[in-house]
Amino acid sequence: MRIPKEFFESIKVKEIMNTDIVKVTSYHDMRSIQEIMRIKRIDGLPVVNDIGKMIGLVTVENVISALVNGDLNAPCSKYMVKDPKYLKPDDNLYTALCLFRQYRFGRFPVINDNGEPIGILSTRDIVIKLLDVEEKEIKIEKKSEIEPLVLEYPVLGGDFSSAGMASSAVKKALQQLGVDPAIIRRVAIITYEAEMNIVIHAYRGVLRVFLSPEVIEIIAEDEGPGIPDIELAMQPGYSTAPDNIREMGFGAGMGLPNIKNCSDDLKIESQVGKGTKLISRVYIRKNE
Amino acid sequence: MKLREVKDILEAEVLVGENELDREIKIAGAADLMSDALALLGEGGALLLTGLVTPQVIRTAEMLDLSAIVFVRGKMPPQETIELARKLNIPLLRTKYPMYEACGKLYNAGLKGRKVEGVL
Repeated sequence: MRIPKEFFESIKVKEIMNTDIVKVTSYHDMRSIQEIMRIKRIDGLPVVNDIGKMIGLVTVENVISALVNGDLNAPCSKYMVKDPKYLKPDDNLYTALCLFRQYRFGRFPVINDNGEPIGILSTRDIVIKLLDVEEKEIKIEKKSEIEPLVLEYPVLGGDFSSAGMASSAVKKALQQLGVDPAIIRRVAIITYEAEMNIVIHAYRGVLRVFLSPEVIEIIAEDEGPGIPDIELAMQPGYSTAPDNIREMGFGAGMGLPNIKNCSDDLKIESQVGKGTKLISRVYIRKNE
Repeated sequence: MKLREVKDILEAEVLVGENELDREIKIAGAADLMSDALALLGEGGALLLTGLVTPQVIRTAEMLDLSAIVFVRGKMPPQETIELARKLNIPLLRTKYPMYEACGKLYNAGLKGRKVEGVL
């Protein structure tokens, strides 16, 4: 059976692309990207610069190359596809399929007019679309009903140039969801300080934000040296950050006290030599 | 106070946000430590005066929804900082006055800081 061209032309890329993407910067190492691919079950991550424009794409093939070379600690800029071929959200599926046939790639990033990646279209997404359009729609509806919204961003130790991008993404997501601006500001301060802490002190970490109608939970978990004395670390002005961090306006020992002031609940667990987990809660409707 | 008045009082140059000078500035704060800024300026309509010109200042401003940033002592931020501010639509001003003088001039003109609560 031959599917008419008009059918493909009637479907736009933005309707079937996967928008649940993880963006990384050129400094992210291949090891953490491999982890993200495994956890999120994705096979391509757009690489963006400081202002969010796409400069490359890391694919599972790139990870394999790094693995073969025993080079997983390399920054992804070394292995990524530079200036990858891409699709536009308003391209139709026929155009996309032509591109897939021409290049034989497994996926294409989708970028908007500002050059920012907004999704990825893989052959899998197309297969799902062709198999059963209706069933897919039902599945998506169900998903948004049951699961609380989870935002997850990798944070790399020492990566000062992109420090703050995860918090910025969290903030934008909360704004789009119409969360009260005063709450957003508190969450933004918590995520930003927590993200800076990972960048300053840890090797790598992840920032997760869980959103339900009652509470926003922020979890910042890192692999790093850990905190030997949490009580001491909570003291305003106490800091172990080196001087070069202070030059950037951080490391004055106000991070954890700021986080505490903005949180309704705060828990910090830390194991020396392993890492730290910070769990902060901000209640949207205070529990009576 | 409008951002335009801040610009006039400080004889400042506008680096980003020439069209945003009608923004209302309710409070101001001065800090070179971004954690201090985060602690001080967590309400709407705030202006930050700082001697720090790294992109982290703009990220901080984004988190706090700052209305504008003034760089003191004639400091010129790097292109990276300016680009990020432009992208996030955060006005950047630059004054020749050092921090103390710049704050004094604005304070004299009636622009106050955030109320400090509690004991030391």
